[in-house]
Amino acid sequence: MKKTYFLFLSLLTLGFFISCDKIEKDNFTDPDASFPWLGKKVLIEDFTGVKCPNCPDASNELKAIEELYPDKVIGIALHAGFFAKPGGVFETDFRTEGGEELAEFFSPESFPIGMVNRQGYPDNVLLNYTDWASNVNEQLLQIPTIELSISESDNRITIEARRLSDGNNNLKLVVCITEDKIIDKQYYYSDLIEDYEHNHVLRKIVNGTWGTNVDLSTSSKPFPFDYTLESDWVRSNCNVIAFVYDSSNKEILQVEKVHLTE
Amino acid sequence: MKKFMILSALLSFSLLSFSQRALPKVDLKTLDNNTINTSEFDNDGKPIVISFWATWCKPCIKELTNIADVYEDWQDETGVKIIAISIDDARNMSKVKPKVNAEMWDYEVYCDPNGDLKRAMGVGSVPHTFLLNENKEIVWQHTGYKDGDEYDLYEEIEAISK
Amino acid sequence: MRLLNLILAFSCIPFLTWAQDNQNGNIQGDFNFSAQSYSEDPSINAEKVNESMLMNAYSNIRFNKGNFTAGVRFESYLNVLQGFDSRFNGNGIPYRFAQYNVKGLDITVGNFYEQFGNGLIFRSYEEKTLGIDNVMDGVRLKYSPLKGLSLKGFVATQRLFWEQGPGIIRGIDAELNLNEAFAELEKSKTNAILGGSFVSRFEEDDNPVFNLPENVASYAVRSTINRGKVSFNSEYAYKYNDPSGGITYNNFAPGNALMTNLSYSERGLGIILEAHRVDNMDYRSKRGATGKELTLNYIPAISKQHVYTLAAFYPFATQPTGELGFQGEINYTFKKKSKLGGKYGTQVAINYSRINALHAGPSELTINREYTPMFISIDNEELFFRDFNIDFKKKITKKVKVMANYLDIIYNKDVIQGKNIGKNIHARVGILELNYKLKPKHTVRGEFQYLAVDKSEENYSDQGDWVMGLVEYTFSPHWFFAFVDQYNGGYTSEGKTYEAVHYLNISCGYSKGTNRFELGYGKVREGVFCVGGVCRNVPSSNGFTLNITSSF
Repeated sequence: MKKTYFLFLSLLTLGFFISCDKIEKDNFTDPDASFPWLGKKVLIEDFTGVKCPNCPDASNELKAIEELYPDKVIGIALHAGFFAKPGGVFETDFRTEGGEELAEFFSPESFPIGMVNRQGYPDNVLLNYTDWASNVNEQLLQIPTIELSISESDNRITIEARRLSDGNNNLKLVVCITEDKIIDKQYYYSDLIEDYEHNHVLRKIVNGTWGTNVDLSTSSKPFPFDYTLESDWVRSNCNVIAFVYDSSNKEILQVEKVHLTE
Repeated sequence: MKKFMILSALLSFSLLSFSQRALPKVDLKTLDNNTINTSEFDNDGKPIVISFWATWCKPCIKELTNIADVYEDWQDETGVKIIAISIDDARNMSKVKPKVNAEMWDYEVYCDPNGDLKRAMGVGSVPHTFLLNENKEIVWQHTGYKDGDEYDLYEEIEAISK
Repeated sequence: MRLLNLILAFSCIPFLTWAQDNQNGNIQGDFNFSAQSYSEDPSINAEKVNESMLMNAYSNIRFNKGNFTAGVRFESYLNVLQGFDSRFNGNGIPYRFAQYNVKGLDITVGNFYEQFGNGLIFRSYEEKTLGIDNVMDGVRLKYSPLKGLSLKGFVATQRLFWEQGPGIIRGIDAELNLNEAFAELEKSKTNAILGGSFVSRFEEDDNPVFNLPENVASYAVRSTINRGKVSFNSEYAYKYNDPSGGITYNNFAPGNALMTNLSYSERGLGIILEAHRVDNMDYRSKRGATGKELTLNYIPAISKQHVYTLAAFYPFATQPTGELGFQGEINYTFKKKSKLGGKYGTQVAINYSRINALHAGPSELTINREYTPMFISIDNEELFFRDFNIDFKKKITKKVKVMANYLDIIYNKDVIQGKNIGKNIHARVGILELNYKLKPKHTVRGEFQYLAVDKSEENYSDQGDWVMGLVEYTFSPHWFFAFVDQYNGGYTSEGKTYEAVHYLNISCGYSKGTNRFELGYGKVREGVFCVGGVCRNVPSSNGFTLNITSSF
């Protein structure tokens, strides 16, 4: 009898250690996305490909994050590597020199994978899409150190940039063009979607994959760039994205986007 | 003073003499899923051979099968006991008993599904065989198996059973 | 200062006394070194490797004295071999521990490996050849308060390459051997063991939209019942809500797994019947971790583990999100001197396994949908894997042994390797092995293997047919030499034609005691290499390989 007592007791005490949270159905979401935003915008770069069956999930997540934080989150879809290489039924090549170079450098081992403001280089820069939202939230709460604005006219882009605080001098500016609403094929798990809407597709990095060195001061400086659009790109679907990053740790400090009009 | 300290530290380390390795005390599973500790291994002061194997390791099966052919003779002459430890994990553990029965081995067979004894004894790959003397200390070990290696093992067994 | 020195000097005395204890300490360890050189070879799609040479190495050192054990492992990947995650690159000590046994209470601090039951909710293990090492770091206790009852508990974090995963894991396990615990059952012919475990992961919720549970718990109950030649094993595991999505989709459905195993075994005959059902049981120490990272549990694959190269060409890996599987095996040994047994006896094994998807997918509990699949559904479900194989082993004369193997495999590459082909692979494999003992210590072994894929429209012909020949010469106790040729007849894929290729490889090895040296040269085909249902993709390569192992 003593034995069974002890048995029961020990098993009972074990029970104290289970901690378990069970969320009820009506409590699944808690969309309290209001917070003190100080002006720092976030860039999400999504390594993707038309032949990558799990990639649309990441694209959907990127779209949802953009909608959650309107005008605060900017996305670039980098079609690169094996999953973006044309073959079989896939004829269109969405790869770019810049995208391939970035893929070579950050070397993602599986797709989809992305970067949020390229933060966490070198060990934690590549993030699974399920981690993007929390990282974006964290970045949005930070105090911006750079201010950017973009204006565009007559095939010329002008970036205005200035520091908001003292800082290091290893800054580089990157300007790129992306295109939305491109209708083409895409794998989604075991389905082939003929008319998938590809958004944020990187078309060209205007001033070289790693950008140009910029020396910023507290007063605004203009940086002009001439550009051209290829004939098969639809101007009214295109965007110009500019970002400033710290070349010592690759971290993006500020990003801005402007949508091109007819 | 400093010299004295260094000296006494060195002295104590040297006194910490490194003896023959004892068999580590680790829990294993029997073929019936009961728990047995390695400290319970016994052969009345006669030699013990511990051989790590797996159902997917062909040289291991070859080794144990070749020894099985001469096991009776070995036991008559030296009283040696062979304990075969399978490192098969949960996927293949259920196949250990059928394998032992199909090969018709007469060894004591135990399972080490998470590699605890394997790790404690420094086993990298299988087959890996150890020879324990009358004090259950490891006196000889060998990795890998080629046809004919059992003769060398037997020489070692004979040497310590004198 | 002098006083301090004196105190330090005197404090050595208890250490001296400990050193002169009856039990003496001992140090042991092992060492493993693998290096490979890579040359660019377009004929086999072997890409350029900038470093030209890659290396994996590790060494364990253990110190043991009486009830105390301590150990470290040093690992070095400069850089890591192809097929392993590049986050391993670098050097470090990812494993160090101290263990003490005080009157039956076993305490481990630092790193430890552990398995609860079959591993359905918790298994921390290492499999160096696959690049798996999800060792725990924390505190673990083991205690047996009563005869027949053993308890284990731990609180730890888990390894992620050179860092630790964010989750804090707590676990408890109890195992009760009824025959040892209750005197009345000691003499019983039926042997019964019961076990139960609880595991919980704590990870902060930083999801801006969803309310994710921070403590995700799971439990499992298991039993083993033996009577004579019959044995029945089963384990059931349940996992509470473990959503791991971002802000677009989160599945709050619980997970469960059930595995059962019934076997009959006697000398010369063995019968095994196994079944398992898995639903939503991917359990990690970080939400959303993928691949082999931070796995907390282990669901053993319910298919036969094959050893021969072409038999293991299409290996199955358990799909923890959801699957239903069965396996049956019969082992029979025809006795010596019987009609079919021949002079030395003949062994035959027949094995069949089949795994398919759950009906309309795993359990789902999201904002829009609530779904629980049927318990058992086989007809019309997506087939993941089916393997029917026969094994035959016979010693013909004192010098000659023959092994023959035939397999018929259906393999769903889309699900198992994450591809998008739309058709299954149907392969038939035939293997013949011959062992010939030239002289007492000289043996020649030859293998001939053939893999043929079904090339009809309804199946995917993958890389076409393969033929492999192997000759190995061993000279006990030190030497072995081997020559392998894997030949692929060429194939077309996505409009591109691949030429026929011979993957030639020679190797030799020298071993003395516990030192082994192996040197190889040649082409290695790309492949998927699996152990227990976890796989590693290895790209093709051309170059030298060097392996050195030792134990001391």
